[in-house]
Amino acid sequence: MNKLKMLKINISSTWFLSLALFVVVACTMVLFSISYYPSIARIKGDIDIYDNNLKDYCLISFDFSELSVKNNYKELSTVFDMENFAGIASYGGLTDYSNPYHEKYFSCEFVSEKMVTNLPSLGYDFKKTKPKGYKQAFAPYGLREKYEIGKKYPISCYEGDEYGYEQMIEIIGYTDKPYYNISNAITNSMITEYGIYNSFLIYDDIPKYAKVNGGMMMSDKSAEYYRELGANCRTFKELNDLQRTSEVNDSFLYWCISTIILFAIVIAANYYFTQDRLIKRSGIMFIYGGKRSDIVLVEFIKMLLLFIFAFAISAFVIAMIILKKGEYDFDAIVDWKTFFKCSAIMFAIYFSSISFGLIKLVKFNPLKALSNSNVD
Amino acid sequence: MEIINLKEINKKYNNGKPNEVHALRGVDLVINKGDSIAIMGVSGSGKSTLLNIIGCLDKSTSGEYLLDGVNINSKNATELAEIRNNMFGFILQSYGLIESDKVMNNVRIPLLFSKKYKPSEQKDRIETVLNKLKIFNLKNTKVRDLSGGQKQRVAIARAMVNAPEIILADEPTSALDSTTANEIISVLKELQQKGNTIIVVTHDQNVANKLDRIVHIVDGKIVEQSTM
Repeated sequence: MNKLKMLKINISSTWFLSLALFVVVACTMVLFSISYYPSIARIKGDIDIYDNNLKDYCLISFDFSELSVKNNYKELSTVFDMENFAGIASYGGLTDYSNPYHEKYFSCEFVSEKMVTNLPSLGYDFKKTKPKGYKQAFAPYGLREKYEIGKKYPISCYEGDEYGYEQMIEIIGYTDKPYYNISNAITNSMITEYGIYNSFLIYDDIPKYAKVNGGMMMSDKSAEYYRELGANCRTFKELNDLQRTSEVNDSFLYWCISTIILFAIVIAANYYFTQDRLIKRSGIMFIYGGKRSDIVLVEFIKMLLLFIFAFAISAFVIAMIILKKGEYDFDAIVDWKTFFKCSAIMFAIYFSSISFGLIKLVKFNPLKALSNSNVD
Repeated sequence: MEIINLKEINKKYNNGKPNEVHALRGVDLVINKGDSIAIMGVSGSGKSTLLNIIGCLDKSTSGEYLLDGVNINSKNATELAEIRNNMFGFILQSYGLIESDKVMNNVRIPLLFSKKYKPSEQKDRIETVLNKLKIFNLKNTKVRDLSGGQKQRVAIARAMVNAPEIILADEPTSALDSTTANEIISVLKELQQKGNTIIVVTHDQNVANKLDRIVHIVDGKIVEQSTM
């Protein structure tokens, strides 16, 4: 009964710090779980287009600063076997003046023959044999009202007068779904993305001066071979394996971990300094009949209760998130296994960070505490 | 009738270490029920150590301490905690109050551990004590809003609330002006008249002169006892 009364007076005299700790611990447990789950805990499947037939092909990135040649198709061809190149090259574009207040620029992206003939189409069904007299193109989604499917239009993609690209194109669709963007494959595991919405996707021979950032080399040459030529390179299998176990963009996780470390330091500092007040209160309890061991035990129980309540509320939030997944069937952003793992980590961080204060309390000298001034 | 009997009390801090301090050296002291005693001495003379041993806040290194005939040295931590709660009321140098809390809650603290008053009786008991000390109207005031004299009355109320036999006061007037200090000493004298034993550690000769006996302590030894 005494301990219960002591606990009550302890909480009432440290309610602000207790509340702050409770809120921070609960929020951190939820955020930590959510950031941890997609970054490490979730074992991903293969990249969407991954296929054993493609595993030994090299994903290549032409970094201009590392190469002895410019990264246009003509110059790259002097070094690399560009006939094996499966990818997209940029060359010029169109400016749409139909809205004088809001001009828009639409680039022309040329899809290589290797890509069209060897990789899944992802819904972009170019005719594998190039028609004569005109080219096929998917028009920018933003221009869908100007360009009708099935009709032919003359377009001019200019990157300067000398090498301007002029051609009659047949519109066979719009860029309304993801397509390959292998240029960032070395640093970004997203091999397909929505980054080409506002471009003409044209299936044609790649113009000589088209800019090529990267793609897949569909040859039997090794990644080492391409690296020796100056490009960044790894096999599709290597990228896929990397993707299975980690998200390359881990900055959010690092940010969270930094926050948690900061939070641990703040807890430790706050709790440690709060002990001065608590020790003085404990000194008063001691002289009026409190037992030293009870005082320490009550403090420990309070900190434990605080964690348990924070755990309960964060578990409630996680449950809500998981239930919502069932309701709307979107990708899970957290699961129970991750939550419990993160909670265990938080428990360790929490108690190790407050242990400084607890040790100070365990060693408190009631007489010294009482010789000091009043308690705030 | 004696209530406190100290025989050959020694207290050493850091016993056996190079920084050993011999705070009390063979102290013999007998205090009868209803006495009022002043313990005087310069800083570091051992007077606060003596008060702490009397109040069961600390244990002597050697010697015998009989409190109301009971040997204190043989008591464990739980028993000592009960003795502190039952037998003593402490008044501290700088009040030792929880500033952010109300007067009522500060005064209640000894009752948290008390077996003398049931929970249903505690509120009445607190109000009775506050009335006696003429601070009933302050019961819901936070301590931080009180004057020095009012704070010391609250501290005395807290010391009295569990009806202890002995009041131990450590420099109870050091933070007060002379008028307020006299009021506080009058309150302590009233308590003595009602049967309490009063032990006051003080530097102030005027305060000491108002009590029945003065014990002078120098370098951990009682060198003089005078009766007023």
